[in-house]
Amino acid sequence: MFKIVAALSLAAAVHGAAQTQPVAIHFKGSVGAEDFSCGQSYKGIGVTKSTIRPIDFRFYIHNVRLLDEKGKPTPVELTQDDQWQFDDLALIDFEDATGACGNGTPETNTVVSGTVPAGRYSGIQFTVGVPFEKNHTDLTTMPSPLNLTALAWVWNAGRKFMRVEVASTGKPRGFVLHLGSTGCTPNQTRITVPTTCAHPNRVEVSLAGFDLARDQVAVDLAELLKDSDLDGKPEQKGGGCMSNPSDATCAPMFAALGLALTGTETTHSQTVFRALTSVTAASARQ
Amino acid sequence: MLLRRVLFGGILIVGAVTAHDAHGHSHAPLEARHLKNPIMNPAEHLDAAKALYTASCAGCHGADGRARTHLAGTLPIRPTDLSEYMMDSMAQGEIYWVVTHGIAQGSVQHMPAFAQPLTDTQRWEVTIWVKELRLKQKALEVASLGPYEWILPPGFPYPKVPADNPMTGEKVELGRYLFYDKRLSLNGTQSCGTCHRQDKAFSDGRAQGLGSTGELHPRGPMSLTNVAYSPVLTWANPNMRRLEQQALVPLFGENPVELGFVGKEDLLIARLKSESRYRKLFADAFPGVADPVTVANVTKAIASFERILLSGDSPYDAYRRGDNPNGISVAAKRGEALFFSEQLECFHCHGGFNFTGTVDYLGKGIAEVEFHNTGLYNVAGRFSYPQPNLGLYDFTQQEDDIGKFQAPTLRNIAVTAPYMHDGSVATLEDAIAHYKAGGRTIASGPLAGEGSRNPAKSEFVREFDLSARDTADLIAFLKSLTDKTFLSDRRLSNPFESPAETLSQSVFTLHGEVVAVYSDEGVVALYHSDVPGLLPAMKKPASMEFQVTDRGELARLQPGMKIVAGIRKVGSDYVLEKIRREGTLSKK
Repeated sequence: MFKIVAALSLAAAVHGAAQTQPVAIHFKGSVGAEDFSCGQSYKGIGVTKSTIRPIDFRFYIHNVRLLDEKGKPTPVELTQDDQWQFDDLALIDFEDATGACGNGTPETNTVVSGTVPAGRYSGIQFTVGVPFEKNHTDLTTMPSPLNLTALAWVWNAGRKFMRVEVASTGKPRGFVLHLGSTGCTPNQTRITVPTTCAHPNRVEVSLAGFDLARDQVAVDLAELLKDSDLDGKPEQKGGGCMSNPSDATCAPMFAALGLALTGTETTHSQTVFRALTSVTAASARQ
Repeated sequence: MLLRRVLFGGILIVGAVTAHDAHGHSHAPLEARHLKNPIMNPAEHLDAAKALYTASCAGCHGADGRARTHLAGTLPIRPTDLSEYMMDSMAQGEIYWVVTHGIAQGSVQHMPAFAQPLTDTQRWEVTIWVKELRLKQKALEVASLGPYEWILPPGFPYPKVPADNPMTGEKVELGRYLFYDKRLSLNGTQSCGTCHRQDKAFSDGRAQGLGSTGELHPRGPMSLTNVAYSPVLTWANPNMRRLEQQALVPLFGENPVELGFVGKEDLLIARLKSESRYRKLFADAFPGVADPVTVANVTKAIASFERILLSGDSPYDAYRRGDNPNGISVAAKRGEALFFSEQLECFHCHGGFNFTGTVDYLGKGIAEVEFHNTGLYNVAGRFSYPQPNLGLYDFTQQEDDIGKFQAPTLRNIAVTAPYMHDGSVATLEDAIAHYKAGGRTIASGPLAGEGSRNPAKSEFVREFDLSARDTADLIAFLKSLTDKTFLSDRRLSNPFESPAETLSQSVFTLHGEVVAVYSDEGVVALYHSDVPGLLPAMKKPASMEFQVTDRGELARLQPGMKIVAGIRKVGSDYVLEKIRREGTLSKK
């Protein structure tokens, strides 16, 4: 019996090694029809039609899958690069520490790369966020990209899954979205790290009809902020959403991400991530 | 003679009838401490002592004293664990007294009296062996903690120390420098010690903390008194378990910004590496490590220093130990009785050696973590506490956790005003008045409400009668918990402090560009130049906030304006004065 199992797994390994193909999924930060850039201003954003300047734009994804023509998902094995990708987790980072993004990092990352079994794929799926078992780990001992203090949610013993910050007309110091799990508590004896989170707040993204050779995943700030009031009272410090379920500021952004803020409302699919066919991007990769 | 026993006899609760009552007090009368063991050569009596203990005591207390015997488990009240830390504070006379008289609760004799079966000498011999049991257990605890020499207050247990960060003198020394070093804030203006001042028992006297960029914290800095025994840290965060983990919040938190290093961890490390002092201190603290200057090691060293912030040398401690029977006033003694009374219920949440129900230590099987709603608010609307301080609810999002916070230690409480998580109670008198009313009533304004009717209020917070004299007595007792040694101990003090602290007297010149004006807070945010000897430049996009006391000057400022101002350091704040536009001359 043992022999058979061993033989089977060997066969599988040989088979797998012979028949994988590299895959690269390209992401593109955008603000409506325009490209995302730290130094730039964008007009007409949110319900207040504010002018915004980006301060930060980063997010984690994990569990990246490709869909074949029947819609069956196949996990992508990510390349372990000691920087952006760790296990099945990757950090997408559009900010480059220029302009108002000075608190960010000069390095950017817009590509998730790895391998999949050879085949024809026509769609992708991934989850925005850090998986539960990695979310509540010690930032001082974890490898990159889980060791970034800017994405650590230190008081909440977790990570900021998505960090979006913009300076707006009415909020020069920034209107933010810090997306992450909330309602996280240890078990009843309360002597461990969190064991459950009432609001996981991980975003499922599924893009059918995605041509890996030609398409990019556009991540649209204007869409994320389309129903938000970006100005508010000018005297008010800062502003925005820390994923607090009782904070109405979060509601429009959560709706755009397809998340239930309080857990009771009806949700629709997210609209922030979409497939974008870019002629220039496709030709650049020829 | 038996006054103490009578005093506490009425308040014993089932489960707490051991050689110590629920508050760690011995059942023996205070005078028993002064009984001297007549056996002058105890070492020669050890064999006889052990034999007597085995025959008379081990059936319930076990051969090792830990009371884990089958018989112990069948008794309605578990026998005392004779190996645990509380036995450290029991004098031989007290042990002898308990052996002689046993422990009774009303008419029930929980531990038999051994006055009859044993002779006087035999009872003193048993006492010797009981002491020996604790010494044996203590030796095991010390061995498990490693070679670090703890200086524990008498009667305190050893703290639990994480296995991955054992204590060493070198780590404590490095941690002390880091704790007090203003380079640990991005703009060089604050250290941990700014908000955790030794003279205020490592709190800061503010209602709410003020971060290095001028941002106000929603809550006040907690006292770090005996923080080594706290299994959960900060006011209400059930996920904050270790000091190493907690140190990341002030360093890298951004809501609010405290020390301001979020996203700048590389800069912090580079800054520390550039100092020869730190290269040496880190190398000594983390020997054999190729690159010891890391964020993880910064937090380990700071945590090690925090674990020696131990306070147990107050006048009340000296009095309880019997060292100084008149060490506290008669009023304080009356206050003690009130404090430990079922009428006031204080000790339910502020009990034990550290006067808090949230406690852990070496040898304690299960850490205790408590959060209580004390009826401080009952505002209208969906939440009964005002935003953004909903307490435990902010983490669990369970309705019945609204307004629940940790009960802080009462040691040194007289120097940590103002009180409560948001500093909304100014004095000890006000704090007692709040509990006396069974919750605070706020008559008008946005916070109006009867706190006593808060739906999540603790069952122990109930209205009680208290005369003006009682209040004064209670305050006298609380003041007897102030440990002056702790507040001035050189080992815990700022190693950078020198007579060169003349900064507050001098006015320097600052050049800046206005980013934003917060007129309601009297604050202006600036990009600014270096101020030699005072603070490093903050360039776009990182601005820093300054206090402006003259509201007229503040009102004239506009974003984008370039200014020159006098800057003065007042405490941990920077204050601007004589502000004028760059290129203009001030009026003579």
